[in-house]
Amino acid sequence: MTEKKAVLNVTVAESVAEAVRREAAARNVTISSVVEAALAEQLKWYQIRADGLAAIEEEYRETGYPSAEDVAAARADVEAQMTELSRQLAAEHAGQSDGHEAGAA
Amino acid sequence: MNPVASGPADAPAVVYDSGVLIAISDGNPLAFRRHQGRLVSGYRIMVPAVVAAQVVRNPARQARLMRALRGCDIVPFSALHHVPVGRLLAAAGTADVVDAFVALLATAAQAAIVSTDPHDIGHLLSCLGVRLPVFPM
Repeated sequence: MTEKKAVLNVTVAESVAEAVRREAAARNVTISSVVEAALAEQLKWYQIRADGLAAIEEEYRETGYPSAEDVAAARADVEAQMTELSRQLAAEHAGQSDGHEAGAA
Repeated sequence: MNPVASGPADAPAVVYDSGVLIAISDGNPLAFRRHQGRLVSGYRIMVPAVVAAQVVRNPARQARLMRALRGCDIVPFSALHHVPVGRLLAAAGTADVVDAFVALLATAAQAAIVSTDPHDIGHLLSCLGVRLPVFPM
């Protein structure tokens, strides 16, 4: 059975609103369905992250906590990886833009 | 539309291969602390269900692994995936379905890959025409 729908009044940036309209038009679906799917996906991830952090706390409670230095070092490793991911994605997108411009020229 | 789900656009994402999960399961403290760091930093961690299946053997005796998996989005291999995975394997001249799915998932999500086998994954990514970072465990 289809779940009953609720009405939410939300305020979003104009650029987000435009992106939602574009996505809905491209997929021939309603704006509500695009927003609902995006919200559901984000909320699912919030839940997974919270559960994952709780699970780590359980593990440390049973087996012992790492030192603050070790935790900080691992966090720094991960932050460096995140920076590298952002750099590569930016380079990839710049390359695609260059390609489009070259193709248009 | 890409048949492999991509997830929230604003969260940096990472896909684990089996080597990471094996390290966590074997009690490698660095692998577990980095997993913690990714969750704290807001990475969306994705694990193909087939990757998890390569490592899970006895959940009751793999508490650390099962706890790590609670922080991961387990992505199923569905009827949408056999064709793109098969095409990628044909293009790459390889036969590892799991690695191909890891590469496709990372591409769709614009995600980094954490892998103990960066050469094979890198080859698959190059066959897809994408450059994504492949990090060691």
